[in-house]
Amino acid sequence: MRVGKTLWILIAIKLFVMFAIIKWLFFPNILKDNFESDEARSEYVLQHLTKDKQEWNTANY
Amino acid sequence: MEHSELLVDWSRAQFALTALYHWLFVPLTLGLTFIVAIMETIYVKTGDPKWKTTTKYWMGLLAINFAIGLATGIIMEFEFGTNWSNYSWIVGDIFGAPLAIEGLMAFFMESTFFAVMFFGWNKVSKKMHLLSTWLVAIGSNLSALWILVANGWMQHPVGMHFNPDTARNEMENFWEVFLNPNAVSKFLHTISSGYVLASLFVIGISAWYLLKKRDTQFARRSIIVASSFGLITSIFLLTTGDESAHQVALNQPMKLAAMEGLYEGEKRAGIVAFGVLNEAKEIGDDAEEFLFSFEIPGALSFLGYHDLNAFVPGINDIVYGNKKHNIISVEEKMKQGKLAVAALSEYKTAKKNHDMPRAQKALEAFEANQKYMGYGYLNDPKDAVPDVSLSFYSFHTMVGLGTWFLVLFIISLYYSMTNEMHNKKWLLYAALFTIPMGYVAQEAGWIVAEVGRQPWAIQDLLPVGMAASNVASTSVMITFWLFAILFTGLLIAEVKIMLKQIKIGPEGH
Repeated sequence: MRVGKTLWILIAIKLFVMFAIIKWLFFPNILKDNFESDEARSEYVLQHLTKDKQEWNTANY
Repeated sequence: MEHSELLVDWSRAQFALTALYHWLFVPLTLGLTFIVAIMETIYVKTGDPKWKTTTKYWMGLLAINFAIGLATGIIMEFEFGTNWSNYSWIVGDIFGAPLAIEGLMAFFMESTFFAVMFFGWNKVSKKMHLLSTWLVAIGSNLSALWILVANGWMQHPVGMHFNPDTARNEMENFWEVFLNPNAVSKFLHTISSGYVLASLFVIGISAWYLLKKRDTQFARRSIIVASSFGLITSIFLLTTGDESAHQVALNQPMKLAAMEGLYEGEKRAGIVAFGVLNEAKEIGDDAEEFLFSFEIPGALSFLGYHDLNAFVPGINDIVYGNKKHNIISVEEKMKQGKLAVAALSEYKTAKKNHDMPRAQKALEAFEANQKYMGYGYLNDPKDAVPDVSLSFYSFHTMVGLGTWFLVLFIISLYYSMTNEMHNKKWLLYAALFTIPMGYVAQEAGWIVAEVGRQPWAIQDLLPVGMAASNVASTSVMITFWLFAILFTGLLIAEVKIMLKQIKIGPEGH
């Protein structure tokens, strides 16, 4: 088999495995799929960033 | 720190695996495109068909590398959305622009002209074909530019403003992001390392032909071009490496200290030319840093600050602070970071309750402490220290091999010009066995860059643990092994196809 043909076959198999199997089965876009709006995504990430905050005390500032 | 350590470690391992495999394919493309363009230019200038054969042969190997490496970087985009969703959201606006430009401009330019370059030999004019080859070289390097602008920003975030309402970094000044000194030096150092690798690749394979006593004139021609290109770009690599180290000293002093295993800062600090770390050494103790070492005095001060007498802070200075040299301790930064996090939380609550005066006060407090926000997520000051052994040995491996490559280029150029190279068996074997060394140096360079900046996903602002998504660690483990199998398969295919083509030789193309 000519090298060009082998490479095309390899490219096709690789892209199929990457996009049709791996991406589809294992790589959901967490924020895109679980939240409907950017506002909800912001809220989730802000919640994540501030979950273990210190108690607010204005005297600290 | 957020999430289980197991999850974060597997997410990191998966990213490291995919990045390291991806980087096995990219640098050869970056450099070989230019070598092929130079060879084709000679062909067009001289009209000598031997140069056409030479060009087409190396173009064939380039095509194999390009085809098999193609889209391996996309995997990292998958990982951003799944394993690093918090990080993706937080950096979204900064990464969006460079990556969009990369996709639209550089990648399409590279791919379009690659088709003309590879399939258009008898379909377009000589000059058009040559132009396409040069545009492939420029396009593939421009692709790297935008990725490295994004990476440089993570190492030294500039030109942005963190929006506490959206939890995103928003670009304020494109040029500041684009001309970020860290990104510029990283880009130049990275592409020039690709040029060096490609030169080693061409010299090594040509040396094999000389050892086999076949296609000797083709091999000699190839070695002359590759060793000239390798020598020039090695010198450029040295200067860009110097600038990279300078930027690291200015913006990531902990990385520099880890790269040199320097625990106690000093003026006129030396570079360890060769040394074995004392693995029993702990941060803050009095144990010796090295079991033995050979040091070049003042070299680290000069490398980092371009001043032989400059003070280079050590790991202990950075962790515990050093008042004499105005270095704030990690503990102090952690306090400020925790205040920033608390203020951000208060701002969010006050806004929700429409208490604008309180929100404004919280916002001012956040902005006053935001610089060290990431430290607010650390549990222990020692968490700010990367893996010293890995950083030190990777850095010294990279530098040591880089020095050998420079020597090899000089010797190869000399003996190929005097037409004696085919008689120097030791040199031919050395050139052949240096090909894998080129890849080792490439990977070592990335390990220094990425391990050395731990624990940060974004320097000082976001530790890796906070950047990770809360997904099942088993899922990350499964995909880690899937990628390991996929990429290993691709690598085996690349090596097998290349070896077959090398055995066929230039006349078979």
